[in-house]
Amino acid sequence: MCRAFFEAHSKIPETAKYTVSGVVREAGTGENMIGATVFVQELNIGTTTNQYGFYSLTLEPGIYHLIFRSFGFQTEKKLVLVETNTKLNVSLVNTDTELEEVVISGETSDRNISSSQMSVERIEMKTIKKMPSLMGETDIIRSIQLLPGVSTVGEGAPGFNVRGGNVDQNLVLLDGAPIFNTSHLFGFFSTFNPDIIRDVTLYKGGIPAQFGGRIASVLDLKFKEGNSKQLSGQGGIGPIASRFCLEGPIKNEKTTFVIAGRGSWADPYLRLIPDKNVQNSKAYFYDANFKISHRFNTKNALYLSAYLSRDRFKFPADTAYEWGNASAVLRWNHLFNDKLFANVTAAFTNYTYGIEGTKAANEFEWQAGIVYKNLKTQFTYYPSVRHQLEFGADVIQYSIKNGTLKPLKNSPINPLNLQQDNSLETALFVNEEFKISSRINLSLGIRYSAFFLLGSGEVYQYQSGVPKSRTTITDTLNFASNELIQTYQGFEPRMALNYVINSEQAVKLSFNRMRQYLHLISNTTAITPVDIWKNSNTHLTPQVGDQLAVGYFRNMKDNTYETSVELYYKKLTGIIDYKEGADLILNPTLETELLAGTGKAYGIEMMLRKNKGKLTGWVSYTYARSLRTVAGTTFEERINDGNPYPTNFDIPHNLKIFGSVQFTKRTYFSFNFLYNTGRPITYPNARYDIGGVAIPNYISRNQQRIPDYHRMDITLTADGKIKPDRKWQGSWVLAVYNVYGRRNAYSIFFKPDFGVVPNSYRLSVLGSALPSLTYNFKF
Amino acid sequence: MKKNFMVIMLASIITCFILVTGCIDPYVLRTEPENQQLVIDGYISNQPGVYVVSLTRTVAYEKSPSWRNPPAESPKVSGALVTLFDENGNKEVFYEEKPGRYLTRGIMQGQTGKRYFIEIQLGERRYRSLPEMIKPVPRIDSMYSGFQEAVGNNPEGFYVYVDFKDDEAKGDAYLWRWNGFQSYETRPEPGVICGSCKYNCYAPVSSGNKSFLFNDLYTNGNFLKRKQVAIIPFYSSSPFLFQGSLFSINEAAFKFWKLVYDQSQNSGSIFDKPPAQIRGNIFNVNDANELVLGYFGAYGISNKKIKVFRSNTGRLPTSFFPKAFGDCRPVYPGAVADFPEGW
Repeated sequence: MCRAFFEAHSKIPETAKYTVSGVVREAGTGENMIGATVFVQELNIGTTTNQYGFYSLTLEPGIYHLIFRSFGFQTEKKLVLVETNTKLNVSLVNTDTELEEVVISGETSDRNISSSQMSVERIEMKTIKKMPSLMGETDIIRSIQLLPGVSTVGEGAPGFNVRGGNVDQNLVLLDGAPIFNTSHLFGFFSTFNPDIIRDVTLYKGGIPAQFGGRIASVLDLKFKEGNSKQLSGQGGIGPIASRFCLEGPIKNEKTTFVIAGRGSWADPYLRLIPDKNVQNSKAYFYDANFKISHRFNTKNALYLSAYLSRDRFKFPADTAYEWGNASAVLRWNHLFNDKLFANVTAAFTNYTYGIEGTKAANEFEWQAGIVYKNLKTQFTYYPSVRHQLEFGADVIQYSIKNGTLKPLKNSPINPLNLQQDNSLETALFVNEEFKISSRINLSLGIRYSAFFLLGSGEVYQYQSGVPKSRTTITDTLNFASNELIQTYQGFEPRMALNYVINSEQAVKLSFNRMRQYLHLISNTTAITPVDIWKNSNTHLTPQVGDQLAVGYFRNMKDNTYETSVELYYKKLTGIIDYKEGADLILNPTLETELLAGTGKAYGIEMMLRKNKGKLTGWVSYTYARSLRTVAGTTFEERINDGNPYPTNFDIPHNLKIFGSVQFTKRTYFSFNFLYNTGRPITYPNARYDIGGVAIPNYISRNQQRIPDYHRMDITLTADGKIKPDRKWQGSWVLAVYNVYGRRNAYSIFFKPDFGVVPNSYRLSVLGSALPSLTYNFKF
Repeated sequence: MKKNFMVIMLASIITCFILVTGCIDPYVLRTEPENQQLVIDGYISNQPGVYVVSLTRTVAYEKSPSWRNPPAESPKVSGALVTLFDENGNKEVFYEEKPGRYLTRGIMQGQTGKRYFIEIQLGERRYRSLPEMIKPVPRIDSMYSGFQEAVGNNPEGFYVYVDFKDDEAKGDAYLWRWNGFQSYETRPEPGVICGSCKYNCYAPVSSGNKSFLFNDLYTNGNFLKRKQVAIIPFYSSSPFLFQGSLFSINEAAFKFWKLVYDQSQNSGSIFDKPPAQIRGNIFNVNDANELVLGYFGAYGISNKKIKVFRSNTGRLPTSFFPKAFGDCRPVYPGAVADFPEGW
């Protein structure tokens, strides 16, 4: 037969090639697998499945061994006869379901060596769920803070900082919809229910051309599609919140759903505190997720997902804060042919935030928000085994409500309605992945983005040469509805190059430029839920970030150990900082409070990761700096007299350790340890008295640091026995946050004491060991 | 809008989480007593009388102060020549009443709508303030008080409110300061037999860093009712003489005082604005780079006095001043035996 094949082969012209394509799925649940490698043994070349589990390989006729591999799954090897276009769908078995096996086995992937991608972190949800948690709440944002290059300004601060970037420079996509606020309860918990999330990918650099709009990172979170084999569920009851998730097929395997919800019960806890103010406060949060998927046929699939979250915090005296996201995404995957895959996504997000003031005779309601609409088309074309071409277009429409103030009752407050930002952000992108040889991979991309700010609106003109202020307005330009007010555009080149030294070592180089037309206006150390978002405009230029990174990657002992060293350098322009004491809320002349600056960030990230065995985990050390320069022409327009100063998140030394030890097949112990330099702070050099008030005299910004931070958390998980006649499996999670109860400084501050003098104090939060017990279940 | 509410809330939630109170520890900060900077504090107003300018210098942080270990006082600056100018070139020289405290003799009187500035000659150095105009100030229509139990962050006490009409013009800003007299009554020392004898004295109290600052950004041209301007603590059932002053200030002064009060109330949270150097309106004429602290303002002031009666709450005060006997004047700083004006 073989001979017959080769005889047949010899008659085929040299140019004839056939495509093997298909979808890689998880055997247990039927979920599509993202980023599984498909390796052609004979050619020593391979590809990976895309975000929808699809792969395509165009090969010359022949017999090939295809190896399908993904971390934590058993490897599948298939012998394929390629003499025509072939469909090959593969299911991989999760090694965790092999209950008799104590040690985590399964093949590990050498993807970090073979792929041109660098500065990308993918954490498995099962790893995240093993991590010690605060109050039993598995938290994706806290988990990624254990990765090199990700930091935060303080305990419980909202958001995260990537490689010296602001919180608003991270694009957080939840199943394709951007999330503008990732925090519950002012930042103590994140708004993502871990039970519905399937994949967490963080791009710190080397960002592919299909992503844009933010200059520091992309955090791409994907929902599950829902178990297509059987109805199953999971959930948990914890001290602060409880959650539930149900998934399964509808009628047949073609349609699946997943629904999840989570709610807090903070109020009863607040009652326990010996502080009237807290006892009478009311706090709640919830989030809910839903997704329905339908595969029409092998060529078409439709997905609809929705997300809703809400937070409210009411102080007994006079103020309530409220914020929430609502989003929906409709996605259509279409296979034109074996080589051309298309994905069309329509996303909608409505993010609202506000304050309600209930102080007698001063009642008001303040509300702001963003309505985001996005249409994105992306094609993947697989012309040959060496080339993969992605291209598409992206259109975003923003309506940003910059704030309305409404008096309530008999309040003397005048209603105020700041003009809306209406804008379009558009982009075209193309990215080519070229496997030049079995050693060299080149990914070359370009994105061209253009931004249009549209009327109606007023634009103030200011006297030149003096600081912008309400009193230096010279003229007001009026724009009609949909009239073009301002436009910005530019190229965003992306490049990633990989040189494989041998099967265990590689060096990589990447460059990316990103442009950002949406900014979070916040002059506090940590962002708050009521900080406003603003589009670029006549006075507020886009932020542009260039990043160059090189890395060395080495795997050892059959990919059991992964090590890497990455160096990066970033140059940022159009960075926003603020005049001293700036007022940012409900300010019709916001530009008078803003200053434009430049920034740079650089660092080295080292990582050692162990993927197999009884003990798994990682150790990482990062040295990183993040600096800004604001050098305007007048004193008012300069910070630190025009000299570079550290950002609030300039944290040079970072040591992060995470480990998980499997004791028996149903119990394991995890721990993490973090050490970092204290964040920068501005100290006074003296004090003085004026108008009966004692005040500290601050000189230059962020020149000192709060004491260093370190903390260790542990968790012990005991899974219940699985009985053959029962699907229900319970598990207990005992976690202790801050085991040795270190009172890490959250801040050092100065306030008047003993009559007149500003005395200095250290504020620590979560300053003692904090145990929690959570019951989780699945069925 | 008030982020410090959030901050206190956060700190409280956290306290709840850890079920330990007192996560705030004193932290000793020492700074070098390097070059001490000049601090100028004073203003001219539409009110008749003498005007005051005080000159001091900054003090280094050396130790954590305590009652036993009182903080060092700001050094006073003596021997300066301070001159007040108006926009027409009229001037009056201040005299040094006591070290660091300079007064006019009441020759020049502030007039609404006119600009004023001062010059200070200190050795070789000459300082000048930017001219500021005295803005018109609304009349305080009424001022009244009412007792309120503690709610949340708002302590119990007698809340003082004012009603006034904001000017039609945009960009008005106000500073509210108050001072008052608290009356005390003491009995003779034990052993002195005098059944009905008692001593009365009146001790001054001022707003200090509890001043209120607000502008008409959201309320322009409106009649402001029940604007809360002070909280008088319920330490005693005796009356309190409350003298409130509404200062009409310009934009630069508003920015300056806002920074001063914001920074004096910094609660240390990561939701605080970063602390800033506060530059006032005074500069070294020959060296623009010299950092000079403080402000010389020109304010329109409207005053009103009321007596706050504190005996009608239906209960006793929640806290008391230390029990004293005999003449109460030495016990309370600055206390006088005679009725203050307006009592």
